[in-house]
Amino acid sequence: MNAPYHSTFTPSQSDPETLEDLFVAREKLAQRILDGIQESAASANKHQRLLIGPRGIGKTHLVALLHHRVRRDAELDKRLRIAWLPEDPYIAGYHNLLLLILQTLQQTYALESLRQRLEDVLDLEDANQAEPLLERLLVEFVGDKTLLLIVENLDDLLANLKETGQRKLRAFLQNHPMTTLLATATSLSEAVADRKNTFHGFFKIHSLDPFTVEDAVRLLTRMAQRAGSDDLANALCSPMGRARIRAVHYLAGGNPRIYVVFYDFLTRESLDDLVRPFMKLIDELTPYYQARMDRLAPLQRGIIDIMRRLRGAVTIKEIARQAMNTSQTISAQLGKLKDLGYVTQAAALGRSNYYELREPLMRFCLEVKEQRGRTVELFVQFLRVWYSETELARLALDGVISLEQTHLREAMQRAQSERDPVCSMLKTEFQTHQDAGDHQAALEAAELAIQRDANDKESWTYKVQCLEALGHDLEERLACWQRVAEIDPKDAIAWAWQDIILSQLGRFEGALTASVKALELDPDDPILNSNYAWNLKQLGRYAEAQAYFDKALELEGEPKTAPEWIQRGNDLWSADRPEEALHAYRKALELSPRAVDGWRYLWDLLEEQGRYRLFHRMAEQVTALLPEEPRLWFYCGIANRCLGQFEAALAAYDRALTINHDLVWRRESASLSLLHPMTLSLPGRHAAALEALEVPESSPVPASENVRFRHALAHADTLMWLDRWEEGCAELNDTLDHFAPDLWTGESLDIITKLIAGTQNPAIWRRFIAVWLELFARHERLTQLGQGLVWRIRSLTLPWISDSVARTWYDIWRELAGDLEEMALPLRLLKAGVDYKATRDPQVLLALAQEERRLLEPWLINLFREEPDEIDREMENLLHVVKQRLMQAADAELMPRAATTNAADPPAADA
Amino acid sequence: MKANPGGAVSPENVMGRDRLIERLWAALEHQSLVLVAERRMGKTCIIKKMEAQPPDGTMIRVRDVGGVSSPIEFVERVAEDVEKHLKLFQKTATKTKEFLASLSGAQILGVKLPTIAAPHWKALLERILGDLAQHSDRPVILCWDELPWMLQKMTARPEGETVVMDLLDTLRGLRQTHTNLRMIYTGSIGLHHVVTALREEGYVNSPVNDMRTVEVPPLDDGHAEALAKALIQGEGLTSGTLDKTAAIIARRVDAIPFYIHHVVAAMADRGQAATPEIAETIVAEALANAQDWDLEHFRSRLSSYYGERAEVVRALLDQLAETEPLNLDELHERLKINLSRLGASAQRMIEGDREALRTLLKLMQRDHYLCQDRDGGYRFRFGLIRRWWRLDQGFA
Repeated sequence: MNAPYHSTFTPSQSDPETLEDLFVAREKLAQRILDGIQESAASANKHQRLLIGPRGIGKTHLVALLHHRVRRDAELDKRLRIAWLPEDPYIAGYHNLLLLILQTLQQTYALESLRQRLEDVLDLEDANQAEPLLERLLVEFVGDKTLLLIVENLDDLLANLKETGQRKLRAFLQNHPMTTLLATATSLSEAVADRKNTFHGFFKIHSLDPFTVEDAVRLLTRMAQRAGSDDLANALCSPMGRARIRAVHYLAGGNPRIYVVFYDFLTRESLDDLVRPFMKLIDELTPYYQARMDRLAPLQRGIIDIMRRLRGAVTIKEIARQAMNTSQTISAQLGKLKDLGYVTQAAALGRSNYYELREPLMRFCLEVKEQRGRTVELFVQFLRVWYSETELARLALDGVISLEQTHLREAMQRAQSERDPVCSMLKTEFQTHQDAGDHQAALEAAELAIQRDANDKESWTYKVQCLEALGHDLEERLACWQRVAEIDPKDAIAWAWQDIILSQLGRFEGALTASVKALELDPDDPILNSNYAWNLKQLGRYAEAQAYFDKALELEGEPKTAPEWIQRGNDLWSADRPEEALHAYRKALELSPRAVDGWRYLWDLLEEQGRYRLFHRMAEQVTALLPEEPRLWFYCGIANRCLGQFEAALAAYDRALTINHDLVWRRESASLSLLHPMTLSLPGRHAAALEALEVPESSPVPASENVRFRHALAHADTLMWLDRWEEGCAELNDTLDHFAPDLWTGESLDIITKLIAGTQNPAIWRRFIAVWLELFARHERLTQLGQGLVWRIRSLTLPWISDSVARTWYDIWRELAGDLEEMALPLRLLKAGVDYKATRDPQVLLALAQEERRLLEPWLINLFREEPDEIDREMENLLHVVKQRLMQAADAELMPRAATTNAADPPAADA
Repeated sequence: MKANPGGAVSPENVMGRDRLIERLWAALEHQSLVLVAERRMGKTCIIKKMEAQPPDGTMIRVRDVGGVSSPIEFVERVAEDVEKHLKLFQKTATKTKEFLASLSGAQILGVKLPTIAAPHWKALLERILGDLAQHSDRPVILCWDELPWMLQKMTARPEGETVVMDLLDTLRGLRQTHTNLRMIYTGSIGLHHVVTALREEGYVNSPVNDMRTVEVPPLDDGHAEALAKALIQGEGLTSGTLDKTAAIIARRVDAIPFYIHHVVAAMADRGQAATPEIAETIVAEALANAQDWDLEHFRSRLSSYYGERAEVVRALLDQLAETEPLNLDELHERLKINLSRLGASAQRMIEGDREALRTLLKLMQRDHYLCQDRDGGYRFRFGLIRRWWRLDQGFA
């Protein structure tokens, strides 16, 4: 279907319907101007409007549209006489202008009598006599109507009139207030901009802004719809369509004319037809730009030429260097060129201002002169932008030597050696969205970049950053890192991340393989060594693990900052050197008391070591010192929970959530979303716990598999406590079936603590334990159950668990599991724990084999320790130092204000 | 009424000038006028309103003579206006025609005088205005807008200063000869600048000392707010705080009509509601982009207005931008404290007699930079200019 004609270069020749259909972005402005014309026609108020904008920005389209709307309004049209002057008329002086206006009126309104009167004036021998006569004629023929005078390229017109003609024109307009002017210009000429000059302050100036990408999409979509190309319209609105238009936006500089020209390319089937329209565009614009250049002073022309050659934004200093002139001179000329609309300031970096040519079209047109049969830069750039490297290669396969192929080859060469401009642009967008916290939009930009070039590694890393921020699952993130490693097998970070994610998924063999690859690529990276050691340890290869832990520590060197000390602590802890780890964390916190990660790891270690009271004491004091930090409240909740102070634990969790709901949600591995409901059950609030577990946010995404397991377990267990026994058992069965054994250990079995803490009723204990033994055995998880039983010996410290209760606990377990081989060791250790609780006699532990004893030391002893030891003293000292540091920091903040206040105090009487 | 900064305002839409116009009519009963004001005050609107709504029987003709560049052209324009007026009364310009006939026997063709008449412009002018005065029993008022511009243009020609001196003297003579003839001079640049330049060429007369100088002030607050309100409503802008918004606009732009139009036009361009906050934002943006409102001109013209004394003027404005009002003594003291920052010529002026400073301050008042209160304290004439100066100098 043929679209109605729309002239790219002469919108005035387009039919009104086309003008309306293709008018985007400026409706408000059009209405404002139309309102002004209406008021001018209906009253003695006369509005004078000047539209400013570079060539192709849409000035003529707007003017043509307004002309059409005015003529369409019969009432308004009747009150006007419209003289739309030709775009580049011959005007040597004021009388030429008057003549032209009258001739235009004569033609528009077919006024034969006027034609004859004009002929009489032209017959005058003395041309100077014509002016007053022409003025009179114009006044006469406009009569009681209003003259709507439409003048394009007003800057050229005023320049041709010179000052004398300008003043005469202005005087005429003032003396005969019958005219409303609608004028356009590419820039503010001196006649309008300079205060001393005639038309300064005369016009209401409207600068036409370049199109945004959305405006361009709208325009091109409408063009496609008008042409009946719905497929094309949809493609333009698609994410990739928008991305391409965005890239073209750079070339177009927001110039609507360029988009219209580019539209023609979208509809062409082959490259064969592409060059000609480009050349036509260049051919038509070149004389115009050349004429504009000719109007400049030689140095100004030289500056423009330098900027064209250098292509990108340049500093004054560089231009001065190329021009072999002073920066002061160049700066002054650039100011003038900026006022005239030739250049624009692109950026200011530090003390340097960067300038570039305002109109990319101008640069291309001026370049054509130099190209002379070589490639047209604009066209090559278009090809680079529009087609990906793959698509260019495919197009090039149809090899026929022609001008088009020359451009295609050039574009392909550039594609291989230069960055893909669309990808670059999308990555910039990604960064912008990322900085603004809009991770979804950032993800879309990253995915478009991948769509454009699936082998661009950076785009994949951007994508995975977004997936993490948006909480997408671990498998998806793993896939991205695997792709990065496929593209670049030498990317150690990609392998390292695979290692981390696989660990979280409980796939330790895979994690080990990934960490081996990472280490091979960077054997001297301490973190990679540490990760590798960790994986070895997970797989029971302790001796090897130790060697790599030692290597990691050696490679790290002496830590200097708090984060480095924290990392050192983590590595020492992984290397089973907990006391040294504690020292490292202490050093970190002395350097930076507000390093929350430091507190986290320190307290995790103290918890593991069974130092519950110390953990609790420290958490209480630190939250008092830093009450604004939500994560500290979270840990304080854990500390309270360890000591059986469940209400206090819940209060602390609530406090953390009050301060920052979102922060706590995402960051904690054993997240608050799980601990909160689990803690609710401990004082027996099972219904509330179930409700909390069933809130969507309580199932954190992405959780590690371990956390998911614990969540499922807690849910099943809570159902059982609520006497939805069958349902709960079925869920427990499914949970044990679903989650692989590798990703959870007995440590995850909070249900054991809940049983001993929640009731001292042996009948209930029996009921639960019996089911557990049955289901864990069914799924071959008795080893883990045993591990959990041993880990939960810690529950024996709860204040209400007396020695006899502890004894009963052991007895029931022994009764039900005594004949199970897998439970033999755990039962022995449980007995030792119960005996130690009752006697506090180290001999109890000595009765165990050495390797068995190691499983209980030192934490069992720490659990029941009454007297402070070296670690207690060290931690007290740490608290003291931290308090001092925080107080000093607070004082330092207050001091300037105190100094100012003191300055206002009157001197002492005896000073 | 829509906001129309820079455009022609219909006489019936000119607000807040009735009392001033009454004063002008009253003054014109007895003498001619020179209308002075800073640009943008609306002088042209006032004289157009006077032309559209004269008292009964009064003839007034307003003409923009900015396009005129020679005395004969000026005479042609005057002749045109006189011809129109006389036709109205079915009279003829007898003396003029006789004179022309005596030159060449040529008839007036349209309003273009024959070339031969050019050297005799003075005689022609006298006869044309003589005809006019003769046939009018009530004052006839000719108002020439942009007259200083015209005179400046004429002085650029060879021997132009002599011609301009002659023209001004001729006009003065005509006013004294024909007591029913009144003239109003007005324009974008002050006539005193033209006269000052002529004095440097030896001109000793006082061409306007028979004319009363009337300054066109900004609107009073009530009318400024009324104008703002009318424009907001005319633009169809929604406003839940119309009175407050109008008051803010009026206050922030010192009740200068052009800027009131500008602010409302800017609001309409944005298509937002009219609120005090948006008004404040628009004014703040305009102060930051001084070119839009022509504010930079207040600094850039200092050299041409004050020559060597421009540095002292800048220093005085800096002081008042920081603190105002300040009286002469205080200003003098402050300048002396900061003497070392000034050039030699400025230093000499400040260290010398205080009278030079006083004279300069008077000139600055005349050029609308400053005004003086009852206690003798000087301050910026327009708060808008002061705010811009502070911003530009980095005081804000």
